[in-house]
Amino acid sequence: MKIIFSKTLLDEILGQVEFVNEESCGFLFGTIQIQSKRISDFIKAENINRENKKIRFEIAPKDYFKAEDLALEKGWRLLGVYHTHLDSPPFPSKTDLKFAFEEFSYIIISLNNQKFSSLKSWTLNRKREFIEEEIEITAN
Amino acid sequence: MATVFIPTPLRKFTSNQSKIEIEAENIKDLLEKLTQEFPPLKNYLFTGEGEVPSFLNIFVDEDDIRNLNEKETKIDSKSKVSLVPAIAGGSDYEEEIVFSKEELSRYNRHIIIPEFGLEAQKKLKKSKVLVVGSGGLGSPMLLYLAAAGVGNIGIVDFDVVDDSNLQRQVLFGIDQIGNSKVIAAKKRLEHINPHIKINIYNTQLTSQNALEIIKDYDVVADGTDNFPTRYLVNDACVLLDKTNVYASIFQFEGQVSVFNFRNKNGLLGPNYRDLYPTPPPPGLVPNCAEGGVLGVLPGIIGSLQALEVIKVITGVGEPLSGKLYTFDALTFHSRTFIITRKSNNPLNGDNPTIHKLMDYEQFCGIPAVERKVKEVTLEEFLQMKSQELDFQLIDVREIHEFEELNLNGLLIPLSEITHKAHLISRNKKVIIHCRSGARSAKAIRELEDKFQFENLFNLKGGILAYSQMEKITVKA
Ligand SMILES: [Zn+2]
Repeated sequence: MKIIFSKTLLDEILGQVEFVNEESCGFLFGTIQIQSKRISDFIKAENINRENKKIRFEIAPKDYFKAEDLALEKGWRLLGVYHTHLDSPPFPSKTDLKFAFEEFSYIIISLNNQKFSSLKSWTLNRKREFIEEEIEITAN
Repeated sequence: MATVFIPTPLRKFTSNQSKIEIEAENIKDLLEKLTQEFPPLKNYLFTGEGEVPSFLNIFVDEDDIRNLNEKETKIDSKSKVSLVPAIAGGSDYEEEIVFSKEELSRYNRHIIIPEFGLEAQKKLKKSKVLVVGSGGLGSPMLLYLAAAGVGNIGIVDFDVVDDSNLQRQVLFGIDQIGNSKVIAAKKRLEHINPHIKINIYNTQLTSQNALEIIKDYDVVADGTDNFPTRYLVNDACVLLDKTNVYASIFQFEGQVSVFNFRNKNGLLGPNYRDLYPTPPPPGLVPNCAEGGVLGVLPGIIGSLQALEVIKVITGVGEPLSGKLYTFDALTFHSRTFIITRKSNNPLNGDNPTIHKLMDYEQFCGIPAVERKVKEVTLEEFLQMKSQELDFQLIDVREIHEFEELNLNGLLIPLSEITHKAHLISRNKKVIIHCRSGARSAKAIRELEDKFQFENLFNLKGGILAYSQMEKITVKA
């Protein structure tokens, strides 16, 4: 399915993840349409990984519940998760695959020298392989 | 009955219910009953070995069952059991870059610059830079990139070192004349910095191999002085989303720019086709071999090119993206022009028409320069001599080279060859030689093109191969 979000939303996310010298992460919300997922909102989550935040991220289950609760409260749907890769391309890593969940979209934002370089969205197929999802960025 | 929380991605299997009531004694029991009621859930709750998969966490009230009694964890009617997708991942890039004591002391003058520091030095060590051409621009560039500690350097060149290169190609010395440039370059660079890796490609960069070679690098620096390669490198970099650090020189003037660079806002900068949409007509702009170049100029411009490569890799400073820097060595005037992306750029404008590499020789209106000529090896030549076969030997070197050492051939310097073509026999084998074989190949191509000769053979390795063999024989 195609992923649609606005330039404004992207800028807001980038505003929170750029110049952070470790992997950032958070949840994405919106609606599912016939052939697309439209992301309307996001919340940032704390990276609680203890090994090496430069190459790992992990979100606390309590934050996951918060995201689910927020979705219920606002009438949004929890669509997926975003996270950054520092100086590494926006392709899912083995670790990303290990923890990925079907249905969710995983947007990977690649930062180069802490500045945005590119992004891609991924989702699992039935064989637990990552498939790239087309992204459409709208003007607003 | 215990309440089970179903996360969003699994609700499609539970008719969209987020809470399900189940009577169970422990987690194992609960999961089994859950899959009986909703069979498709099975793949998400159990691995092939019947364990809880890595991507799922199961909580009883506030606690992960991994911290309780795993699947034997008891539950009761008040328990809230939650199925929680594990939200985790990473980027798996190579382990943290570390430096040995020797490296830290080697790079000390970089590391102590506050704006540079260890972080930038790590980026250099991690980086992969491909230098196309190891000539005038490539020489200083490679020397400085290697010295600076760029961890992986690739060099593409198919040429051999010629005496006339040494006026500007400071990577090489007289001992390497006649040797492959990439091999000589690797040796010299490893001597300067043993902490880095040099990969060599002893070949010409072509439309057939460019993507395959370039894909493994982060940044490409084009140090060639011909239009087909410039367009080739540019197009390959745009297609592969790589930054292309460009420079060129001619006589007393140099240019530098950074193409296809993505800035901090994700905006892509212009590329070579935004600056020069089409190549100049063939012959209008001569290359260094034809037009000449002041030897110091590539030293200056190639060093600027190395500087831009280092800035692109480390993120220190503002790279020359969207700008063309020009330097006039005679007047010391330097200017910086603004370049912008053009909507009609055929690679990445509004309506891109180029989706793969093309024949760049043809695009630039130049016939393929490296047409093969017929050759004889030194052994074959000596055999023909000893068997006193009838052939003509032509020497296309300069008179001072001829006077120093010659093989008794007829001297016709390369510059005079087409005027003296009538002196060359048409009815027997003609062997043409020079110092290393390059000028004689050129002479043969000219003679074949202009006068349709069919009996010309190049002496492979030239008189150099002969004198090297002599040396060996004398020693033996
Ligand atoms: Zn990742």
